[in-house]
Amino acid sequence: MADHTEVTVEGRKVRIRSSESEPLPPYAPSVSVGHPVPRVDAVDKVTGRAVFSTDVRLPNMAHVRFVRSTRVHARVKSIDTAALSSIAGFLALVDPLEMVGKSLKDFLGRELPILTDEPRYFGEELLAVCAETESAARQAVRAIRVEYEDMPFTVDPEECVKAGRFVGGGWSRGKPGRPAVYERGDVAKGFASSDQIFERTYRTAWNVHASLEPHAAVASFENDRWTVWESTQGVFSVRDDLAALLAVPSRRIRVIGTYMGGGFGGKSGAGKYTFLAAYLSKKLARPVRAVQDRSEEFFSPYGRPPSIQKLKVGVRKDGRIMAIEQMGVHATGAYEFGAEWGSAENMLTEMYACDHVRTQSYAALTNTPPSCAMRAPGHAQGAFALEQMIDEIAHALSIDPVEIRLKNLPSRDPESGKTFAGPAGVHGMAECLKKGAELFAWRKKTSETKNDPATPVKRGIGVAAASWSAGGGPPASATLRLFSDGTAELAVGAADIGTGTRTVLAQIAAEETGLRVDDIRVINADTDQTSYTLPSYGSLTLASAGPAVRRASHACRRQILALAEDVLQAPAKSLTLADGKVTRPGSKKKPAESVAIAEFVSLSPSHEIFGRGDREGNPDVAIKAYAAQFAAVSVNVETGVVAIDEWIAVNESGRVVNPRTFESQQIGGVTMGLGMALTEDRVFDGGTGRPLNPNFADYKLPTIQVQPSNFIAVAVDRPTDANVIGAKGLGEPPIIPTAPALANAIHSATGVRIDTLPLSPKGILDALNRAKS
Amino acid sequence: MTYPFKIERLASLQAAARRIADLQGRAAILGGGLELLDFARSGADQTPEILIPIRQIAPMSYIETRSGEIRIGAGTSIAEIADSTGIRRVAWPLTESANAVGSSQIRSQSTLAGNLLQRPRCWYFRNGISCFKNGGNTCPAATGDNRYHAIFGGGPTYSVFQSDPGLALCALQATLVIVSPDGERTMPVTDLYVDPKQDASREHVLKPGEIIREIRITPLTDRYVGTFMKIRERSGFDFATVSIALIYNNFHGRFKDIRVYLGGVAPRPYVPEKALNQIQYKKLGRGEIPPAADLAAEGAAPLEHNAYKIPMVKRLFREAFEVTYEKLSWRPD
Ligand SMILES: Cc1cc2nc3c(=O)[nH]c(=O)nc-3n(C[C@H](O)[C@H](O)[C@H](O)COP(=O)(O)OP(=O)(O)OC[C@H]3O[C@@H](n4cnc5c(N)ncnc54)[C@H](O)[C@@H]3O)c2cc1C
Ligand code: SF4
Repeated sequence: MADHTEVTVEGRKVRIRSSESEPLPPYAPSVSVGHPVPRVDAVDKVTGRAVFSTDVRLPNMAHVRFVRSTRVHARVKSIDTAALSSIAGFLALVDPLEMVGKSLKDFLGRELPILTDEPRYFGEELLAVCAETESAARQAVRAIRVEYEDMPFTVDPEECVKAGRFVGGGWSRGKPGRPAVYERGDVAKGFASSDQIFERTYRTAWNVHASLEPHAAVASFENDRWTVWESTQGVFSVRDDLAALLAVPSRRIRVIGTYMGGGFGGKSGAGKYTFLAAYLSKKLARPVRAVQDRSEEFFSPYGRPPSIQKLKVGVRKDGRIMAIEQMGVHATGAYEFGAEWGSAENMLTEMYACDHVRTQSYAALTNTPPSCAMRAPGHAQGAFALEQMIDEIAHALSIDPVEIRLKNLPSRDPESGKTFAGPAGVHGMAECLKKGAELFAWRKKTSETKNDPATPVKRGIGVAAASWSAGGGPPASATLRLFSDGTAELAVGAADIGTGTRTVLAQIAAEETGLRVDDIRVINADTDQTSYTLPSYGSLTLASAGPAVRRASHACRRQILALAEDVLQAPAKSLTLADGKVTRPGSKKKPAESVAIAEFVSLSPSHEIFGRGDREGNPDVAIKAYAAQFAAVSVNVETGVVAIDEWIAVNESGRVVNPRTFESQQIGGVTMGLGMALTEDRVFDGGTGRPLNPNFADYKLPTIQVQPSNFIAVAVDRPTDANVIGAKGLGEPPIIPTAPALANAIHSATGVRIDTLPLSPKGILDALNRAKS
Repeated sequence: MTYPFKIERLASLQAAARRIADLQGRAAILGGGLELLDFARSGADQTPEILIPIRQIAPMSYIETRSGEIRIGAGTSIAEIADSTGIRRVAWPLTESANAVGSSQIRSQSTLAGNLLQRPRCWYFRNGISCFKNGGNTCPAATGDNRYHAIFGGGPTYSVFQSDPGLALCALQATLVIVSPDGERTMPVTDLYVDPKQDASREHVLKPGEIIREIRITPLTDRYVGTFMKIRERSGFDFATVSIALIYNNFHGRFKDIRVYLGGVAPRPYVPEKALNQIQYKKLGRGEIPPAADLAAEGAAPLEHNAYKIPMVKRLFREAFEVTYEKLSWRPD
């Protein structure tokens, strides 16, 4: 670990020493961690006892709805609200004047106004109305007449770039009208030393998060404090965003997000609806609910932006990658807001060993909703290009697609030059590829997959891989309280976004203390009751909060053991903690003896055992999670219909804390990836600028029938030494290789590269047709 | 637009017909309400103020055999049709088409008449963008994103026919029983749909106050083979990109009485005449199928983004014939 960090405090550069973390004994879990423990909240969820933000109903609650722009780019000329007075239950109208200076901010501080009178995309929020009931609020919205003066617009990212309307994508705020450039080595030199150069342009489609629970907030203002129930990945970021928007101290806001119905990157901070609910709850002195409906999920600033990626790769005859050059364009929306989320270049710069890399990222200022992080932002798009290109190169050079990947694995992180987190030896991606190839019988299938020219159904196989930084890290902390009846309360700030966070954290606490998982109540995602954590995004939750939970639990364990040494008359290291008891093993002289943990808690001086744990810093290494996926498909070349015959997903994400949630995560990721690959395509009409399919009939999410009939998800269980639980993240890696694995399999079946998503019947037939002519 | 609606209960279909005729566009029959609710939410089409639930007027949800016909109440759900063993035995293409509708929730909620009268899924129209179908006088799909639009018989509208059961009923030569303010009449289902060249603003010929009471089908004898097939982008829960309903029989060793309709490709159920004429009356033989299939897309006039439907049409035509051919009780090869 770096022993200090340099920071600037009041304009002065200072070095702060890293905090010391207590060294913990090596981790060798056995009783709970590593077992397929059922989710701690499964029963609450299936019986409806779990209360989600959209379920919250408070006495006297009012409802907010937005008046949204029906134009793509316009100036509001006039607003006629005369009819509002006749709407029974109408309470309040909020206009942009009342919201002057209020905006959402992205990671780089770029702003998105809460309300505007100059909308830059269809559906942008102009006004907010509040009424006694949801239906009265809808009526009020309809009663308002808005007159516009239309202005020119474009929803086409390439057109925008041509016209100079773009900013640099990525993580720094370059100059307007300049792409963000990443460069290492000298690509000209790299191409000069290549034997062969490959070029292709790839296009990925517009997606939407499509969480089961829409964006939602319920706010109540009482005793000079706000309580906000928010469907969010990060209660603390919502609190901080709200504190800034309301200009009040954090202590006056409580945000609760214990149960939430999916986020996928789209619920990382406060939304416009959150602020209006909070603002109006004070103004009207009554609770206010703001819930988006399904179509609004397509109009508001959420979703994966589409990309156009020109990729050029130079290789030696032996398959070694010598140079990578990429030019990426993505649609970021008209406000620059969220421009960091569409760049696909990280995939290209970090996946494979290559000394000469240059990428350019253009974030086009399209008249579309601002873009947002969405599961493996950038990587999922980048992989579609890179992992198809690698396949193309492998075929051209007659190298096995698995081999070529193994050949180009980096021995150090190509971007930072850091070594990889241990254990040393085999590369995680190599393990994923090898294990997958074996399970899939890759070699056998490669030689045996042949097609009869007479039938229109062609079989093919494909592979793709991924890496993703998934080490987690501070800030994260946890507290554990043991009660004298042997039950406990574990408090962590992290949201459980459906991945099973509550369950795996309870397992870690159970493992360390010897309590049963069932006896631990997990309190999470509540700013009043838990300590600060980052939102559950970027595959960092378990690897951040998990070690903090182990440390909090270890602090309790020490206290239990201190008492147990005296009671059981044995040294701590001979005692085992499991099943709610501390046990001294039997010997020739004495039989084994167990005493309930509850007993020790009663004996403790405070009648409660309390432990707090802070996440230790990470060692100064690159910590990555890896994935490989293998696909077997049948493609009907006359109907363009793809059937998935077999799918294998392998992930290396360090220790498997719970095989069941691990597998769920893989299945969920692949399913979402199949949606991206096969059908999901948010269409903005070039002529009218309007979204054409803002609903679930026409924006086609995968259904259960899309699931491969033969679907195996396996783990490479390989604890990392980068943190005290050995786990890495598994949020994003499972979605990254899916679309390119499928595209590669379709190529293997048809002989045609489909460079554009989705791989719909139309996409496939059009590509086959182009290839013919 | 008003929302929510007012519900009226009337004593008879006749009374309902009269009430709706009197109120013109302001009242309508409520079937499963899926279309009505969709439009009420989106505001993309005019929605009536008064709804008359068809199932509350009279028993409208039944499947029975009478006078040698299968009679299906207009309010019967698509799920009930899919589950009916009687229909499966003697009108199985309808069963197959019912199973292909939406999801199980959609099938349980939609009524057969409501399904036949569903408006086009065209995404310009459904999003309330001005076009021939909502009072406008242009078709933005003609030059816009027309990937899902018509390749046959388009202009001025390029919307496509999407009712799966409707296509099967055409092939089954079903008859509709229509109640109107001045009595009852029957009409072949193939006459239900309007030629868009005559009137692009609507899809069917029923006037306000005309109510579908019953759908009648002559059972297929065992000399007949037939099928309904559908290509969709998403396997399960999706409208047809291209669909086909096909019925024919073996008449003294020849393809005879062929009824073939394509869905998803034209504003109305589309008959591929050239292909049909090619194979009609030909001696039974597998070899007759491919040449006919090659003609199935004859006359197609694809738009900028939908030429991909052409190979689909040919393939589906061929597959439908091949699958049914295997089911013939006698075949030479
Ligand atoms: C998500 C989704 C997916 C779908 N997928 C498919 C699919 O794959 N295949 C397919 O074929 N369909 C599909 N449908 C269409 C669905 O089956 C129709 O929306 C449904 O059939 C409409 O039926 P309803 O009973 O709800 O009609 P309603 O909404 O009640 O009525 C529709 C119209 O018909 C009128 N009407 C109803 N009954 C009568 C009557 N007896 N006489 C005169 N007028 C009447 C109503 O006044 C109204 O104008 C889908 C629909 C949805 C929403
Ligand atoms: S195809 Fe028909 S429904 Fe669609 S926009 Fe054109 S006229 Fe309207």
